[in-house]
Amino acid sequence: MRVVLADDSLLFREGLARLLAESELEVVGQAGDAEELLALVASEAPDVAIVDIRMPPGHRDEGLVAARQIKAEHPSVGVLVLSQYVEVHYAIALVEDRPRGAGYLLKDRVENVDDFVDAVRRVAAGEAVVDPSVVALLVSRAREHDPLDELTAREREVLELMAEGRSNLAISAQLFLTARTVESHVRSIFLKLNLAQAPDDHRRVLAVLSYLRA
Amino acid sequence: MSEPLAQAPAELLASIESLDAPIVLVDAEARPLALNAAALALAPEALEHATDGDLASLAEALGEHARPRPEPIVLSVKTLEDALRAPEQHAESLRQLNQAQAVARIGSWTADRLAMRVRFSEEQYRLYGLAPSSEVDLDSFLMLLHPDDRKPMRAAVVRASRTGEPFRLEHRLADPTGSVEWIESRCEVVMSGARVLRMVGTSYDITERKRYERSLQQSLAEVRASRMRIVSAADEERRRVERDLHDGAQQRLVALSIGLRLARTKLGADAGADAEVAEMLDQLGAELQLALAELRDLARGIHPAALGEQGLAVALESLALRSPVSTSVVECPQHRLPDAVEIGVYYLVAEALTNAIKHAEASRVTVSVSADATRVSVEVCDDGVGGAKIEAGSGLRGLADRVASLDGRLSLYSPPRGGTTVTAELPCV
Repeated sequence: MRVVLADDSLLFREGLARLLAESELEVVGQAGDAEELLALVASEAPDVAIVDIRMPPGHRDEGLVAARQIKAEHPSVGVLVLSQYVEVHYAIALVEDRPRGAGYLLKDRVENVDDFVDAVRRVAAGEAVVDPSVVALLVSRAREHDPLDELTAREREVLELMAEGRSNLAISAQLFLTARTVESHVRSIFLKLNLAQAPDDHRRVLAVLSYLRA
Repeated sequence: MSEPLAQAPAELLASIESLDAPIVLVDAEARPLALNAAALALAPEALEHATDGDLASLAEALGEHARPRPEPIVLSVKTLEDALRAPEQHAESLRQLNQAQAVARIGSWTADRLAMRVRFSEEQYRLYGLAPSSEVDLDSFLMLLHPDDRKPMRAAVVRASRTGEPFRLEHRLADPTGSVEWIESRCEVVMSGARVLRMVGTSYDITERKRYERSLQQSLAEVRASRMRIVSAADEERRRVERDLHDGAQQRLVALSIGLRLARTKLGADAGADAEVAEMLDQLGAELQLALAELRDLARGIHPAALGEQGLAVALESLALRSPVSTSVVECPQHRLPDAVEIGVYYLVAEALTNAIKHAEASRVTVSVSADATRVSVEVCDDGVGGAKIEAGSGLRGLADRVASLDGRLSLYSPPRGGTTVTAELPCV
C-alpha cells in the first residue's frame, strides 16, 4: 500500500514514516504543506494521503481544504486527516465531503500502531473512519431527555462502532457476535431512535453522526 | 393758592407748567399745592371734580391720541417726583442689568412675533461679536451662526413664533472671535391667550463647558480604546500560547510517543530478558497519552482552535457538546464576524455557561446569538435557582468587564428560583 504524509513537523513525519514502514506500508512521499501534498498526490497516485489538518501558511484547516481538493481531482485516493483536537464539525464535514475513503483521527492515535494502520487500510478501502473520541463526545453529551437511554448496553456499543465507521462485519468481529445478531441490533437501534435505515455504510455513518449531533 | 405754590419745588412746577393736560399738584394730605396753566384755564367748578390721578392717567392724557380732557388730573408731589426720576432709574437698572449680564456672560434678546426686529442686550452684542446697537433681524442673526447650526435655529424660532413652544439650542458661531465659540440659546414666548406677542430669550457662553466635554469625551475614548487593547492583547496572547503548545509541546510529545512506540517494537513481542524494560516503555507510553490528553484540554481552555479556524457557530457547538449540563445553541450566525467580536462572544458564552454549571444547579441551558450589520446580541439562559448577582470577584463580574471592554452592555435577569438569563449587546465592528 502506498501512502503520502503531509505535516509541517519533520520530526513527526519521519517518525510516522518509520512506524508505517514497520507495518509494511510504503511511504512514497512527504509534504510540509498543502501545496506540496497536492503535487505529491498528483505525481505519486498513492492509495492514501495522511494529512495534518493544520498546516502552513495559515495554520487553520488547510488539511481539510486539501482533502476536499484531492477528492475532486483524485477521487480514488483516500484521505485520513489528523488533528490534535477533537472537533465533531470536522469529522462530519469530512465524511460529508467524501463519499468514500475519508477518515478523521486524533493525532495521538499514531501511537497505537495496529489500530492506526487498520484505520489507514480502511480509508484506502473506501471506508469512513471517525475517531472514537468524537463518537464518545457525541454519545456522552448531556441531554435533558436522552433517547439513547432507550438502548441496551449492547446496542450502545453497536451504535458507537457504527458511528466510528465500522461495517456490520467488523462490528461482529470486534464484539464476538454473529452477523445476524449484529444486524438485529442495528435494526433495533434504528427503530428505537426513529431513524431511517441507511442504504450503505457510508451514509449510515453520516446518519448516525448527524442524529447524535442534533 | 398763592401760599401753596411757594411750597412746591420749582423744578416740579416747571415740569407741569407747559403740559396741555390740566394738572392739580397736591401734597401728601391731598391739599392742593399748585395748578398748571391748563388747570387754571378750567372753570373753577371743574376743579371740584378733579379726579385722583397717577402716572398712568397722566401718560394717557399726554398720549398722542388723547382726547381733550376737561377733568384735571390730581398728582401728588411724590408721584410727580417719581415720574421725573423714572428715566434715571431706568438707566440705572439697565446699567446694572448690563453689568450682571457681562459678569455672567449671559446676553438677552427680545423679538417681535415674526422676528423681523430683534433687540439685543449689550452682552448679547458682545457674545455674537457685533458692534453695539447694530440692527438685527432673524436672517442677519442666523448668519452669525455656524452654517450647520442655522437650519435647526431657524426651525426652532419659526416653531416658537407659531406655537409658542419654548426652545433651548446649542450652537456655534460662524466666525468665533475671541473666546466665544459655543453658545446656548433659550427662548420663551410671551403669549396673550393663544396669540404670540413676542419672544424673549437668553444666550449663554458655553464654550468652556463644550471644551471640557470634548476633552472628557476624548479621555473616555482613550480609556475605552486602551481597555479594548488590553483585552485584545490578552486574547492575542492566549491565541499565541495555544499555537505554541500546538506547534511545540503537543507536536513534540506526539513525536516522542512515536519514538517510544518504535523502541517498544524493536524489543519485540517476546522481550525475554528485557521484559522489564518493555513494561516500562508500555507504562511510559500510557503516561504520555494521558499527558497529551491533559495538554489538549488545557490548550482548548486557553483558546479554542475551532474558533479561529471555523468561527463562532462551530466553536459554540463544540463548547455546548462538552458541557456537563444539557446545552443547546438555538441560534448563531453562520457567517464570520470580526475576530474581536467572535472571541468576545465566545468567552462571554463560556463564562456564562461555567457560571450556570457551577452555581445555578441548572438542568438545561440555551444559548442564542444573533447579529445584524452593526450589533450582536447574546443570550444565555438557564433554568436553575436564579438569584445571581454581578459582584466583585464573581464570574459574572469578569463577564461584565469583558462586555464593557467591547463597548457593549450586559444585563442580568435572575429572580430567585426563576433561572438566570444573561444578555449582552455588543457593537459588531
